[in-house]
Amino acid sequence: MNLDICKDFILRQTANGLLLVTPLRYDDGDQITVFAERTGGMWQVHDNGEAALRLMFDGVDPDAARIQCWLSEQSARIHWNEALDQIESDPVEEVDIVLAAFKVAQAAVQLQAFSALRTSRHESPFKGEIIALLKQISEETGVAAQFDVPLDENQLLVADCRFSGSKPVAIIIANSTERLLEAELAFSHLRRMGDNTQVLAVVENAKSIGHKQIARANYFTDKTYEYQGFERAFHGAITDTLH
Amino acid sequence: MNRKDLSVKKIAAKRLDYVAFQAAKKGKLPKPLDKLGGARLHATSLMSLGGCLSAVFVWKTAPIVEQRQLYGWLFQEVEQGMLPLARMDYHPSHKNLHVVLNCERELDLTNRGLPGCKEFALREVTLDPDNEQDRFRFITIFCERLNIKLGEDTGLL
Repeated sequence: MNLDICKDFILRQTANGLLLVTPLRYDDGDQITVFAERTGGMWQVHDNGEAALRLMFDGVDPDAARIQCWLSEQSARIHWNEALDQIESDPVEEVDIVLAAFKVAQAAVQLQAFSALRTSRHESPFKGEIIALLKQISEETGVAAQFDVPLDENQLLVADCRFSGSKPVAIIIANSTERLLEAELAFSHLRRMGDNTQVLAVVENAKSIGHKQIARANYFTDKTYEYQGFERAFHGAITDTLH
Repeated sequence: MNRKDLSVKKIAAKRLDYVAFQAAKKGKLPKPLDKLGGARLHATSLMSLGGCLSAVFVWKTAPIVEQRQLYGWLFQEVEQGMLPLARMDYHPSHKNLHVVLNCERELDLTNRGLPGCKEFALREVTLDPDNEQDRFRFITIFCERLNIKLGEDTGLL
């Protein structure tokens, strides 16, 4: 039996090299396409940032720690172009283009699997509970609350809630150590900018984040609260802060 | 979402008044597009079409036309966030105009993309996403396909 595997691949010339349409597919049905471009007498193959774009379309940040950690571990076969969010091969000779194309396409398929990290799937009831409580406090106190508010110009540090009264208060729901660190970065950034917005962090319980991290956060936020077991106290503390 | 539900959204009165692309930055759009950003990506804001429906367009620029892309999203605002109803794509690299629909998919896709959804090819066109007129042509086709009136009585923009 002769199997013509090549018929399932389409190779075309472009203005600066080649493009290869593979039969492999992203979750949305689009075929994985890789590009080969000439660079200084060699060839470089890349995915044109399409795997990362599929993640972004599914609410997943390619810069997330676990994704970046995985990408850094793949450096023996592919590289990550941070500026273009693109999977790239090492420069290769023309005879090695096909192998490089398969490496890039394989990495594109694997990167797509990180869509399982999307926050909507992992969003704990804790965050929803706190958001509902903050909305309730906003209604009770009459202090306007906005949600998902960037705290820096580059929009890298986002508060889950910001009360914009006479004493602005930003609240960060820290359901991970990484998120707690973001609260600390936001606090440091605002102080450096001369912005007196209070930065409060709330964790579900000390055990899930780590006592040491919470102890540290209390020096690098205005206050870091533990929620579980202190629900009523947290409600009172935030209300008092706004008055 | 079944065909009937989607059909109701399609025939609902909708109007798109104004379209402007800006460099895509993380945190500017609601989920599921809140992570959208990068040197080659541009996006519109979330544009209300009336009722609970909204649209977003994404344009990817690149050195060669085969690497450029256009996307148009139709969303429904629901209690938990944004539910994608349709996405129209244009990929000059390998696939012409096509639309992916959130239809007969037994999965809650609120705040998600459209993985595993049905795809339909549309009549072929030749567009360069980096050409402003071609982007507007893409938007016009999106609006025609999804029953969205464009701009004022005199047309878009």
